[in-house]
Amino acid sequence: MHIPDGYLGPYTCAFFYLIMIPIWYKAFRWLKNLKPSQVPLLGVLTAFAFLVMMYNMPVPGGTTAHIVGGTIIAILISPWAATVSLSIVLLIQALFFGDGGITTYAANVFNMGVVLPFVGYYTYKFLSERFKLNEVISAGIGAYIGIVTAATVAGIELGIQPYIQPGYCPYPLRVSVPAMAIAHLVTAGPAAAVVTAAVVWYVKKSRPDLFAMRTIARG
Amino acid sequence: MGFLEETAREVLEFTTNAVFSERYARRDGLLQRIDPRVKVVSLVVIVATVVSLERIDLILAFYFLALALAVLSRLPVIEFTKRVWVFIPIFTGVIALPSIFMIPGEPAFHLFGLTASREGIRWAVLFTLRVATAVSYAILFTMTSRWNDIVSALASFRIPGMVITITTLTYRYIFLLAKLLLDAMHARRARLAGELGMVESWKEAGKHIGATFIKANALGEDLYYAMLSRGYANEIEPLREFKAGKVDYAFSAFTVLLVVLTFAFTRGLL
Repeated sequence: MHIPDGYLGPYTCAFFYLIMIPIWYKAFRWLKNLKPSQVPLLGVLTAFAFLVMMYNMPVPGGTTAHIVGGTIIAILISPWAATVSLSIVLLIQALFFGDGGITTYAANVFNMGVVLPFVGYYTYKFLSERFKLNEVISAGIGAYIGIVTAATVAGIELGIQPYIQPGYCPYPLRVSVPAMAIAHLVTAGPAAAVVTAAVVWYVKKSRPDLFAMRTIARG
Repeated sequence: MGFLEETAREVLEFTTNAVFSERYARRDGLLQRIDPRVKVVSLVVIVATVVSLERIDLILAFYFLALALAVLSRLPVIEFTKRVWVFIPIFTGVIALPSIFMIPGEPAFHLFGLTASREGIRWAVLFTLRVATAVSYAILFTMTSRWNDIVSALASFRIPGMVITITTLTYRYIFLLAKLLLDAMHARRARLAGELGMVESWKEAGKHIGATFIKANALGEDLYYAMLSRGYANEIEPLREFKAGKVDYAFSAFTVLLVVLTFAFTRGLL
């Protein structure tokens, strides 16, 4: 889902930097709620978020897929923590590992660090609180909807390029949105759902205290 | 290849890349000597310029400038070119290919009953070249910069101290966690008879990620106490102080001139 430099035109890139300014401001303000002991913890957990992207899951069609882990962090800590963590992860990836881009950085953070964890987290919260659905299943469904929504948003960003200025991503919405959405509906989506549900199940089973602790970090 | 092997391969590749980049960042070349603050700003400005260019000849000039900078920074040119082109630009070329036939315009050639247009070809070349040039500058930056310097540079851009602290810790712990992950993959592999199925791999990944999360939590706690006992007061001060020298002013001036001239040229002012 990492959009490289050159795929989005200058107007789209500038637009997402503008959108991200208030979101970053809010996320950094959220950091002030953390207790001093939780700051190093968030550093280590951001490294964890980086690592989650290294898991290579086999998917139908013989290839492998990665999951973003935004929903995992949003559920285990807070969606704002996911925004901060993924902003840092994507910065390290863009600057040091050539994953994603510099001009497209804000758009990538918006997709994977805002849309994905917030949609994933609120779906999970809605299902587990309103419908009293099992937390593990809610987490899986949340991760699924989160990743598919984020991929669709990325598809829209790519798909509007031909209407704005030629020379960037060449495919219009009717090609880019289904391409991104379907790929995630049938491959990375189910993987993210099962993995996220398994993580929540595992952490609940072996360290229920960590699960109870997360309200602290939400301030 | 199964999930365990693929994940282990990815971790190894990541570590090798990091070590590889650091090796060139220690060489005594042009870009290595430049103040990281100047380098970060120049990188952003140049890549943004490349992304907004619409002329193939100008983008090509920027591409050759990147190669020249690679030579001046004592990077191995073949290795550099390989790192640039493998994956992103090639992948871009492949997805741009069908658009040659989709964009209407003056016919250039026919293939299997499809007509390629000149406009389509120009467009696919422009798109691929622009991506490759942007990637070149990013890799140039990666290969000539050390992580600690970049974090210190970010700290001087008024990014909140807490974010810098978290970023510093993140980069360090990525390597430790990557090692733990690799060990876990090998340990699991050693106890496995047969191959894991697809959904089984996903569940296995879930358990591994859960275990890593718990480990990360424990590490985070230990780290806090270790830092506290050494006088930590909520923020880490970056160690290096930068002082811009002649090379830095010269390089900044060069970047500004380059961008201004490029825009003047594209707007027809020159």
